[in-house]
Amino acid sequence: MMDLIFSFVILIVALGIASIYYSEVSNDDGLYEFTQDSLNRITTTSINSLNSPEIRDLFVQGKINNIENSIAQQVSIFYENGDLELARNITRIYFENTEGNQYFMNISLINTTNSYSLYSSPVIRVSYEESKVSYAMSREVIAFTNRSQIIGPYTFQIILWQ
Amino acid sequence: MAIKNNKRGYAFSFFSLFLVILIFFYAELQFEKDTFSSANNLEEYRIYSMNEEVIYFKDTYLLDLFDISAYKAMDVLVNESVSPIVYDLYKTNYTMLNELVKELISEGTLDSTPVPEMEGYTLKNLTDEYIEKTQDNYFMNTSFYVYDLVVYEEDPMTIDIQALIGFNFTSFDNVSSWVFNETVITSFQSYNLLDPSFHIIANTGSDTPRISPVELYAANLNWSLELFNITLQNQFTNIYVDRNYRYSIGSSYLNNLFNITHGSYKDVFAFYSFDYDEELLLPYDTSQVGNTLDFFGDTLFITSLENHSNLYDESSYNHTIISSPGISNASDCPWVSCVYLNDSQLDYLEIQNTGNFDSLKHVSSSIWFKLENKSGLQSIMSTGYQTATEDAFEILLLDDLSGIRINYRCNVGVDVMYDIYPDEELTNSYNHIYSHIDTENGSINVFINGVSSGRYSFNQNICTNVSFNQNIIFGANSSHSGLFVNGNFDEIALYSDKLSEEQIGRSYVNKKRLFVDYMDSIHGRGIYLNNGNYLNLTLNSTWEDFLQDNFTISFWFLPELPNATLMTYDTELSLGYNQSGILLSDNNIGNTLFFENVSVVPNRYNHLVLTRNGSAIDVYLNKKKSPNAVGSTPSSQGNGGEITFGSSTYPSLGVQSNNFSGVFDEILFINRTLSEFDIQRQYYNFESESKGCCNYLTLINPTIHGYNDPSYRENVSYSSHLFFNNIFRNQDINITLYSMRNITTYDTSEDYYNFLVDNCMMIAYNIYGYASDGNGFTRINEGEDDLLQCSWLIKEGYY
Repeated sequence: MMDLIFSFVILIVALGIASIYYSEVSNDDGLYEFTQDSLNRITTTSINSLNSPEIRDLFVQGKINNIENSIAQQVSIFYENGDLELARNITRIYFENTEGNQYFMNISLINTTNSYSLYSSPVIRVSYEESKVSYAMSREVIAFTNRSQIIGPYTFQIILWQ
Repeated sequence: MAIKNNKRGYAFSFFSLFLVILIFFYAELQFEKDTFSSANNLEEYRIYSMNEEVIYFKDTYLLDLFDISAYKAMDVLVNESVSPIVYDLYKTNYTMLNELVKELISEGTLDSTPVPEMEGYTLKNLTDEYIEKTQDNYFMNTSFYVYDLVVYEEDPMTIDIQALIGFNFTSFDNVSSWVFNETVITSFQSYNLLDPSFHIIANTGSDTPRISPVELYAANLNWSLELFNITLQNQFTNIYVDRNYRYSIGSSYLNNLFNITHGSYKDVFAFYSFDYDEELLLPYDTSQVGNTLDFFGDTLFITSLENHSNLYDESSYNHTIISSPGISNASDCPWVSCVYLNDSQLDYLEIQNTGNFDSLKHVSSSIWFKLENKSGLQSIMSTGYQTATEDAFEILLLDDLSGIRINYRCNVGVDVMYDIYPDEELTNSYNHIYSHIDTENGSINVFINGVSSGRYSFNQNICTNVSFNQNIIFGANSSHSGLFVNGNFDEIALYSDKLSEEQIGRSYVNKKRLFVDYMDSIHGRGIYLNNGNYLNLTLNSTWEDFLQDNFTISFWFLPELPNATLMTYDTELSLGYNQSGILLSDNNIGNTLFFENVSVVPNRYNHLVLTRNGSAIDVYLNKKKSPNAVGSTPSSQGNGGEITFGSSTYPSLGVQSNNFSGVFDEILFINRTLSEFDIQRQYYNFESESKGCCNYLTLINPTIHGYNDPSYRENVSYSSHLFFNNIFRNQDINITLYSMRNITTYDTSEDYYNFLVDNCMMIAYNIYGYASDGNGFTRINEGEDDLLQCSWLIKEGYY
């Protein structure tokens, strides 16, 4: 009888170990699509379509001049002008409600010498270094305050992990 | 203690271990499989990411840079054009302008000479860093090339640049590549660009003002004396008025660049744009001649029934409408006004049939009615059902508004009757009925109140077409002897084609009669000709000598057939096309000439221009001039006659037997010979809302801007009277409709007043003045009255 129980315990333990091992290495739950989609949206969605009271206030205050700029272009302008807080805020406004619980995100603006963090997930339960799956994508963005002042190109990098 | 050898225990243990090994082996297999599919996924992801990057580059990144580079190129070109060597390259060659702008954008050179100002602004400069980064990030080579580029304008203050760009994206491993051409368009306002009229023409050098970023739509602004003064104080160079103001003698950015000191409408004798036809009924002339085109199309009969004592057919077929004596206007109408038919007075309406209801493949009708609920049948429409021995059609209202009866007879012996009980019951308010006899498919289709309510069949082998030989009666049977109605009729139309569901819906929702012969074109709306439909222009006395002097006739057309007749002038001249080129037949020449260096592009818009200069006739197709001008004049006809578009059989000198099928738009008759450059401009500005014209009110302090030079003074109008005269002279006086030449202080209320008068008159002539019959517009009469009316409007504070 003891042998039966012993064998059964071995089987259960083996099944447990195999399933944990397997699940840890094989599942990204659409993380790639979400990363690509996030990059597309931040670089092509216009400020105008955010429809946020905070954005409207910035427009009224004259901080935003062209509502047809993409979010990334407006962030670049803020960054160039030294309005770092505004650059972070506008990124936060866009991303704070789009994350799933299982993902963690970091968005950075990179110029030739520096990398500046625009947004990080507010709660990070798993660090990037300990993540099982991660994707990093980047894209060049160029912006203009008028037709003679060109800003950038800056690199926008999005890293997602779980 | 002796160890007991438990065989069963061994067996269990081995079996367990075997199962554990099996589990791990299975897990490993799955893991290997996933690793393999993950690798595949990663490859897929990589290609997908590259594709997303290609889309981003062409739709967003490059488009932004194209905008910046094009804007800079225009400014650089104006700046460099101070040199006559540069300006001479393009000032009379529009195509060269396109080439130079392309060269600046692509290479940063002008006629192969590097331009330092373009450093950092060519597309190559602007994309270098991007291309380098994408090589690193996506392991992808990127290249592109600008092909054809066209500079044009959609309105006076905007510059539009369209280019064909070829793209080539290839992954390093050559597994994936994207090779395609795409047309990109950028459109930017001329704010802050150098004003070419000052910089190049007046040669103001470093004092050249840039076009003010505070350009105002004067007509839409609430002007005050204070604002007027601020405007002057700030030296705003240009104050644009109304982008649709097409008849002024003002100038646009591109006109200024080419130093064109007259509007594109100079000497325009008649102009048919078709944009406002439905509102104004039939193709009307938007220039000063006021000649309405007759259009013989699919709308066979149409009436709004707006006044029972003055009923008329609004189509070109001009059917007479007969009404019984007791008929009266109704008070409650779906659209403006309508008529009331009283059954006790035996009222009816009758369209006198003039023969255009013969041999039709399709016949459809659209009628609004509001009839009393009563027992017995009431006749909504009858085409001789009681009196004709051949084809006839009848729409009847059934007892107590319960439904609709359709009677159709063709070729004696085929007689069908259908009763329709619609899901949504007819009401004792207004109802709309649309019926369609389709002999191609052998069916009758009925829509009641915008909803498809029945489709009924007949034998199309017997009923191959429809011919109504009797008059068409509304409100009674065809012998006027019964089936009288008690109620209102409105917005009646008959067509020789079927209406689309969208058209039926539009007619129902708008409660309005509908012309079905118009369609969207590249210039707003154009007119659609098919099945022998044509446009006809009878040259009245205002056309005296038009065709006997130098002239230009131009139009756009979208052909559906490989060959057809385009235009004829009596038996004097006929113009057509086939797959080899343009054909021109002239009875003075005695034969048909082929212009073979050009070919008509089927199913695309083509621009055709016919010019006469002295004895030479030239043909241009899509801005290309035919090399073999012919010496002839269509003059033997003398004055009068008829010009026809789209018909090969009317009159008789057709160069092609096919009637035209497709769209005509922007038909222009011009009282002078346009130059090749003029025609290039007309062609390139095909997108322009201002149609190559360009019109704005300019407020200038000439002392500051160099316009005090006597040679410019000639070109400036100083008063409202001059403004008025300029409009009607439509001559050479050009760019400035209002001048502040004599202003010495900013507190010049008299000038301000004059400005308001000018502005008012401009609006009056722009928006209110050019309706051919004033229908739907507040007509301001020509002459001194305009000035008085505007003065009064200003004094009373209305303006």
